[in-house]
Formats: sequence, structure tokens, C-alpha cells
Amino acid sequence: MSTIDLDLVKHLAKLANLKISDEELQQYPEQLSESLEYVANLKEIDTSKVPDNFFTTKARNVMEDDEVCESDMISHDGYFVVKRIL
Amino acid sequence: MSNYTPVIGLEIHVQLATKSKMFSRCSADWFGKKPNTVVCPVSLGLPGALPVPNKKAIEWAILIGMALNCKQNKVSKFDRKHYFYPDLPKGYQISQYDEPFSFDGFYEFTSKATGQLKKVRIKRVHLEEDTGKLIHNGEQTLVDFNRAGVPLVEIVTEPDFDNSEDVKQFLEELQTIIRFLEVSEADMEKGSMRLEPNISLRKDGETDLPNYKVEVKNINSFNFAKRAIDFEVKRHEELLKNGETPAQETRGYNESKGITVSQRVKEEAADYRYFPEPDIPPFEFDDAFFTHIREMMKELPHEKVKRYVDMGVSQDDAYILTRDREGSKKFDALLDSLEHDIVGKAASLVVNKKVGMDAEAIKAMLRPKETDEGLLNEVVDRVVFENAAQVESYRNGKESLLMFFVGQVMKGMKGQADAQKVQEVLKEKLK
Repeated sequence: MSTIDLDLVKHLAKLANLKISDEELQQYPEQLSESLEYVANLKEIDTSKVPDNFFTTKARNVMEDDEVCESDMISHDGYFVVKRIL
Repeated sequence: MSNYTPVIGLEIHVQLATKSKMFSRCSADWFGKKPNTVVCPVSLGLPGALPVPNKKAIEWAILIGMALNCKQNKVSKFDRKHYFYPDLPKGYQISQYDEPFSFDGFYEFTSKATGQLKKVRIKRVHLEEDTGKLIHNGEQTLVDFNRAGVPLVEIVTEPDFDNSEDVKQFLEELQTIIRFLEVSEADMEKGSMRLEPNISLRKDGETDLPNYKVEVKNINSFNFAKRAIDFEVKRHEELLKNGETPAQETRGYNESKGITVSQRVKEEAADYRYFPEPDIPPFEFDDAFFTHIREMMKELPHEKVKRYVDMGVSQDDAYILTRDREGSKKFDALLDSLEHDIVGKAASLVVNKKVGMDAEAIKAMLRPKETDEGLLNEVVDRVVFENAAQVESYRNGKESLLMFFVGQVMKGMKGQADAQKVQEVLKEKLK
């Protein structure tokens, strides 16, 4: 059963800024649907008690003071400048 | 025949006047600089470059939220918003999606249009990065990334406006607030304050939101905002009366023609594929952090108005005196050297431009004086004689010199003359 139709493929191609030929386009609904069904296996796992986990480190509130660092910018005849390395 | 009521909401962008950019320590002083010189690996979106948020920008964004009576999210984060456009080097903009720094606020003002107290709900205040600047040049578009990455605060109102006058007044007052907070110049012409109204119409008496809305871009003055809204309202009215529904779209305002033109069909929010920015750890703010920001709060324009009124200044004068930050600071300084009982009259003199922000001059004007007319005539004659060049300029139309002559005469009278009388005699002799 195909869950992804031609219109959706076209829509995704547009969002991803991809040019896809008509020929290729015909293959994608089936291929992408298969991939999706495979990944859908994960749905069998009960995750109702698992919290969201977008961030994998314990780091919080990482900020820098508002100071300009000249050497971060193009600051020499169109070049970025780093500390001499050789 | 049924009539329609406009339903207008606003999206306002304010560029923060930080020294460095939102996610890098590249200079944010981009305006008027040579193209693509105020850039760094982060603002150019070079592979591997990592964003680090600017603490001041976050504090200022939250400060704006507080000034608009918003609640603050203790837990917050940045998200990626994806779309392809040449001014966006990474292919996504770092913005905030479901956990903006501030939300659920309001702002109240006395509407000049209706005389009623108007309450506008503020939906959210979030922080994001500005995009590059595009210059359309014949068949080409030129891209300047100097502006890319400059901190940008987005303020979103609920669709609570029903006329363009209130929109204009709200924008002017919001600009004054931003300037009082000293976080941005909020200059519409320079683009450090930008406005996108969304407009639709519903039948009088209906409360449901219409099933479409039109967003208008490219508005760079408050007057154009009013005109663009008025144009849209009329356009929608005609379509609706013909039984059509205006298309949901983004339109651009053409200021020379005074019309709006269709730009593109609006993408649905889901198309932006928002997800949490993995390169920036989330925020968990404590009370001390919010207290620290609250301590940065300035006296806001409406608070200043109230303070002036309590001191005897009329409501109208107080409003006028609090429209610009520098002027109101000068008036505050003036208040220190004026007796309480003359504050109201002094404010009126200043507002009506009878006198500058000069305590001595104000006191002299307000002090009733016995004037020795004989002496006054002598002094005036002498002043006219001694300042022949200024007299000639005055007679040639430079009327602002009158205050100069008044000053000279007052000096000659050692302050012992009624300023009104001095002006009368001077005007007569300078004819």
C-alpha cells in the first residue's frame, strides 16, 4: 500500500529544491513508501513513557557577551584572518 | 446590504542595536558598509561554523516582552525554519517556534480615532536572525550578507485591530517604547523596524475569523502602513460584495502607485519543517535571570505621561513631551529646577514652543513683572542699534531671531521686565 503519492513527491522535491525528471518521479512514490513502512516498525515500540530528547548534552544557557571579535570577520583584503598556523 | 469590519493583525520586526550579531561575534554594524565585508563564517553559513547566542540580544528581546506585559517562558530554545531564498545562506533561519521567549501580553492605549481605550493582545515576542539584503538589478539580483545574522525581534499581535488609524497609532507608540528601552533605533526607513500587517474582512457583527488573510510586505513608513491597509480593505470589500473570497497570499506595497501587488502564494507553516536547533543548547532561565532583566527596565512612555500629569501637566502636553526619548530626558532634567506649582504652565510653554528647555527663561516668562516702560523703550532702542546685522536679517524674514532680541533686552533690563511686554515692544520697533 502506497502512503506517498505523486503529488506529495512533487511537493517534497519543491521543498528540497530538487529537479526530478518525470521518469524518476514515477519511481519515488513506491520507493519512499517502502522506506517509510520500514521505519514505521519503530511505532511498535511503546515510547509513551520516554521523554522527548532533542538535545543530547547537558549543556544549558550557552551564551556569549556582546563583544565584537574582529578576527572572526573578513578583516584583511577580503580574507578571513586566523592566527598564523605555520 | 451587509457591511464589513476589517480584521487586522500585525507582525513587527525590530533589529536590535547590539554590537555583535545574533549567533556570532561578527560586527552587527552593517548599515551603509561595503557589501559582504561585515560577514563571518557563521553569518555566511559556512559548513561547520557553529552559532553561539548573544546574551545581550536575548536579554533585550525578553525586555521588550516584559514592556508589552508578556509572560516569559522559563524553558526556551531556538528552532530551524527552512526555506530556500538567496538571502538565507544556510537554507534555514534560526528562529523560535513553539517556545518563544515571551508570549500572551497586551498593550493598551487611548485611540485617537475612537476616543476609546484600545487593548491589543500580544501573541508572542521571539528572537531570530535577520537575512541578507537583496538588490534587484535588471536581470540579476545581488546579495549582500552584511545584514545576515543581525538580531531581530519579532512581535506578533492578535488580529485585534479594526481600523488603520489604530494600527498607525499603535506602531508609533511601539516605536517610542522600543526607543525608550534603548534597544533599537526602530527606524522604518532604515529597515530597523519593519511591519507586515495581515488583513481580512468579516461581516459586521461576526466574531469568527475570516477563512482567508492577506499579508502585506514592503511597507517602510507608518503612513504607508495606513494607506496599504486602507487599499486592501477596499479591495477585499469589492471582491466580497461580488461574492468572491480574496486569495490567501502575500502582497507587496508599491508606494509610488499606492497599491498592493500579489507576490506569492503563502506557504503553509508546516512547509517550513521547523525542528529544534541542535547546535544551540536549550535555555532554562531562573528567577535571578528575569530579575536581572527587570532591573534593565526603563520608565516607559505611558508611565512618564502619568508622572507628568500627576505633577500638573495636562494630558495632551504630557503625551507630546513623551514622544521622543531625548526630548523627555531634557524635560526631566528641567523638572529638577522648576518649582512644583509652575510645572504645568512650563510644560505648556515648552510644548507650544514659546521657550526652549531653559529653566531660567521659563521662570522669567512665568514671573509677573512690573515693567518700567521708559527704561524698556531705551533698552530696546539700544539693542536694535547695537545689532544692526541681526535686525536686517530679522526684517528679511529670519523671525527666529526674535528670541535673541528678547534675550538681549532681558539682559539689559536685568530680568526686570514682563517677557510678553518685551516681545510686543520689540515687534513694534523691528517692523
